[in-house]
Amino acid sequence: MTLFQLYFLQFSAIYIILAWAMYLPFRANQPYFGPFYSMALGAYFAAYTAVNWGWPPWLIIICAMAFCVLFSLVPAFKLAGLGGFPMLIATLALFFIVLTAARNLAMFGGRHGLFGMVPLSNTALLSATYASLLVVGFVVYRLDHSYIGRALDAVHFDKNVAAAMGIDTARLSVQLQLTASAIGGLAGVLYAFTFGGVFPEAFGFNLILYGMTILTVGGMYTMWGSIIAAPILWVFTQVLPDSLKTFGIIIYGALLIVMLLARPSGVIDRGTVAAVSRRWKSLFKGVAA
Amino acid sequence: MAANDGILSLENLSVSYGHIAAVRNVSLEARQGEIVGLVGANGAGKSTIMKAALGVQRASAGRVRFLGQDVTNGSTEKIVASGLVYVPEGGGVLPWMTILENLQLGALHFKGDFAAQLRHVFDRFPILENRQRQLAGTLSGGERQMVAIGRALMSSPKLLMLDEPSLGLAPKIVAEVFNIIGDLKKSGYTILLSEQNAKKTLQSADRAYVLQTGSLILQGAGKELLDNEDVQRAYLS
Amino acid sequence: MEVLIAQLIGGIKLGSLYAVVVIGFNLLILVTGVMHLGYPTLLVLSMYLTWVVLGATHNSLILGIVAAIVSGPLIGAVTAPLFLPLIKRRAHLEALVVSLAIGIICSDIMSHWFNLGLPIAFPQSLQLEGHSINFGLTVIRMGELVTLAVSILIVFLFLYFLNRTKQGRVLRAVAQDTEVARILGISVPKTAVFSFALTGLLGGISAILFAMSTGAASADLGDSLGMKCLAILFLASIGNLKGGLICALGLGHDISTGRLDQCHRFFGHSACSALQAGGHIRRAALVLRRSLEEKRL
Repeated sequence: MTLFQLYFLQFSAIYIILAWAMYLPFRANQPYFGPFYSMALGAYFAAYTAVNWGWPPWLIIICAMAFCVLFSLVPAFKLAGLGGFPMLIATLALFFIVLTAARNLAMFGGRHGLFGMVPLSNTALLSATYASLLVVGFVVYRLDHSYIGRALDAVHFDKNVAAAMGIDTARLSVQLQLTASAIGGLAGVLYAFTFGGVFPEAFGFNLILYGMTILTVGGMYTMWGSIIAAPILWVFTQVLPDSLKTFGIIIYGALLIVMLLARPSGVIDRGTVAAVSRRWKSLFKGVAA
Repeated sequence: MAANDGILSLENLSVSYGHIAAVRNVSLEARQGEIVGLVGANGAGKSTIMKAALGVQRASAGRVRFLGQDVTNGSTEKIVASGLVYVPEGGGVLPWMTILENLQLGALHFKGDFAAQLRHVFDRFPILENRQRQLAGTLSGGERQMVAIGRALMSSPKLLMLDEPSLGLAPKIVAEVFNIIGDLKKSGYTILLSEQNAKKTLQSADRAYVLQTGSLILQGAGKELLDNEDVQRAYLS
Repeated sequence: MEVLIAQLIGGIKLGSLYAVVVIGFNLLILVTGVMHLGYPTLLVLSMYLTWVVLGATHNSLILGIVAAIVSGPLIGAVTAPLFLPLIKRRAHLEALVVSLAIGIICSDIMSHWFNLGLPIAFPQSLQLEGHSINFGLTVIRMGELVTLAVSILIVFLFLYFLNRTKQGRVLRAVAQDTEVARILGISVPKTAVFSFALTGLLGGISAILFAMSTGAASADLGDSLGMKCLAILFLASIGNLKGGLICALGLGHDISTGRLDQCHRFFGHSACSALQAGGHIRRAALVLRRSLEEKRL
């Protein structure tokens, strides 16, 4: 397997996981940027524990996710009743704080980052990544098609109406934030294992732009769009000619803006999912008959 | 303009909110110097008709003519500048601006002598002059209605559309508001008055139209409609 | 005593600079509902454009100042159409994401196409080096005093414009109630574009003042500037112009007096400023008292 193929498979999955982490709160109209700083936290946690303490991967994954949940716990309770601008700005500020700490603290290697993780074999790495993808996908799918998914729809439509229907919007918000942080942390751990370490520039504002573009282009209100958008957008930046590579961020930004203006629901919206689902069912009935 | 000239005419106007037809095929006319009443229950389409005339709400069919010009789905800015002024339900005063500032905003498109126009409004509503530096949000319902009407008068309008000016007001204040409307008519203003208070409206109006679920069901002189059995049964009993 | 006065002047100067930027933020939020996260980066872009003009005109101060003042509203007016459809459909979250994207794009442009990505330095003539006031053992540069005076003047001129002029009343009307503003015959889209241009003008003026004050700029200056301004915005409550001025002065004083000496020793200056700003923001956002519904100009 070539390095390109490995990275393609790895980063497609990692960014799908990150997009799903963002998808849950965004679905309830909660602009929560927790998955981004959780990804940074998870990656640094993985690198630090692997390099300094030699922890095994399974322990790192569990503890990194728990750490991200703990880190997000207090903000989650405070932000639960707010939503909107305050949530976005507060989580953006947390992202900034985490980033600054990572760049400046010697224990995290400062600007040079932290490397030296024991490399995993391609098979082990891909197995762990795609097992995580399947588990996260299952969790998100089940949440989408459960009472919680319907509650998210109600909150998205109108928070006050949702509360009047008996939905505990504050508790739901806390659950969403913590789940999103845990999934973001998982994405970070997988990222660290892919590179065998971390460096702060990987988690700059470009990560936010990248994640938002995948979610927006793929579709902000279904989980399926990210599965298509993540690999396509990742490959896109890799196959750009060298002369255009410097325009990568600008192209992403322009794409994000165009999608938000022209088709804010993304390439795959709920209507598309419903149409595909109906087609699939009718085909299935035809075959069964 | 002669007394019987139509200032505003709506021809087969229809307005929809998505798939819901809020106004269906309504034709009406407001002539120089008269009070035209629009009577109907909540949701009959009265506000929608006024907003469509102003260009705030898009008409899906029909025509709106103001001073002989076709202004259907036109720019609200231009329609207001040409002299069609709307006082929304509740008055629509800007609460964090003073009475004077609200009045100044009413004169946005006024080309004449601002000071004279302000004097004219203050003469009509002396209470506003006394409290011109007071924030509009601190006023009572009746006072806000005065500010709203005063603001509308600042532009020396050709047609004044009043949307439920008595809504939420005490009976004594309602009487005051209708007195003001009567005075405005005597001063030569043309008024399109939409109200749920059918009795007061029909008593004040020269002509009136009765709306029900977006359609015109009756029209005629105000006094005649007041004596109409159907109107009495539906709105006056 | 001289040190205290110098710190006070420095603090007020810095604070009033931030106040001008925060006014721009507040204006856009109140009139259009858009929290323009890319605004500080666009301000830095104005600084870069000023630097280019200075370089091309042999450091002509007048042309440099004109470049800053013209580029600001131009950038604002050019980027306004990207927000108008979102403003119309009240998509505030999408507008915020668009503003973030614009900021990141501009930051990327500055880091790739200007000065090979290295920080830029402004000529000493812009900072009025060589002109200073000696106050005991303390030296106060003329550039700092000019920055202070102009910033304060801008704040008061803006408040005058808002409260005493026709266009100011129009802005306030749209900020309070777009529906009523429309009914009064105010063109809300034109007012939105005007507010973007005015914010850009404030940004352009801030750009030249920052250039005079700091003498340098870098592509990532917008990020730290943005964080500080957001801290002020939330501490003062969004839309509170006068509160923003007071909080800006407070933050300026805070930074100027070096309250973070302890932090600096361990983490370094930039980290501390960032952590402090980030901390302010988190604290402010978490205890947000006034909602956007209570907006007023």
